[in-house]
Amino acid sequence: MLGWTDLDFVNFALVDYAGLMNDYLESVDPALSLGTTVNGRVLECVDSDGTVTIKVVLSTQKALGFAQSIEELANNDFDFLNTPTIFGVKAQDVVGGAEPALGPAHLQATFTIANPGDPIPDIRIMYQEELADHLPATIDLRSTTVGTLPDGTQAVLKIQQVGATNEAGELVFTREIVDIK
Amino acid sequence: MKSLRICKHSLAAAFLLGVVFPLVAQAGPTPEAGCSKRPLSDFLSARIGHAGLD
Repeated sequence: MLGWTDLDFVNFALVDYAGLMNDYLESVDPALSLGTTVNGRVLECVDSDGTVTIKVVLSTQKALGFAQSIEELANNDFDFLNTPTIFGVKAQDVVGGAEPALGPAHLQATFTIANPGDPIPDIRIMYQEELADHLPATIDLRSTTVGTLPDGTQAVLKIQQVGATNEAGELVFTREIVDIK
Repeated sequence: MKSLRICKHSLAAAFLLGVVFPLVAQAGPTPEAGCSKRPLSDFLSARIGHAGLD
């Protein structure tokens, strides 16, 4: 699962675009299900030059989302599990009875694979560690999550991240928003 | 004039519902040329579980 930061590196956020956190909650207790639904499609396109491009479109409803302070994470050795949230709650907190922050998330991603039918790589590992093997690549994630701040104030977490690889094979973001209002 | 405007809006809505949307639905999410569909699970299962952040 990919996590996101804003341009100023102040906020870190996760949104459950793939339904992973919901799967975790259902594995703990089916009654904890958030009702997250993930729809979309995966296309495999073979160009005339033999390049195989994977195009993913996901539309997720009732996705769990939360945010943490990057400063607090850094001071805590990036112990995500034991660093408090500044918006929403983590899946573990939901197990403990906390009210989840939910909302829609939309993900579009393109990347290449070596041969038709090859396994699709883990998206986090691909973008963060093995991008050179999957060029060119693009990513576009947008989500809006309604929840509360730690003091109980109603708030909205907005994530917008749009990026594409450049000629040097580096993923360059043209939009990097992790905003809490 | 007001009723005419409402009538125009109604006709536009009817056109959208009756003609445009069915055409879009009929066109559907057909794969692009040179593309084939893969199961969504190919992407969703290609992940290493970090749901518990542990």
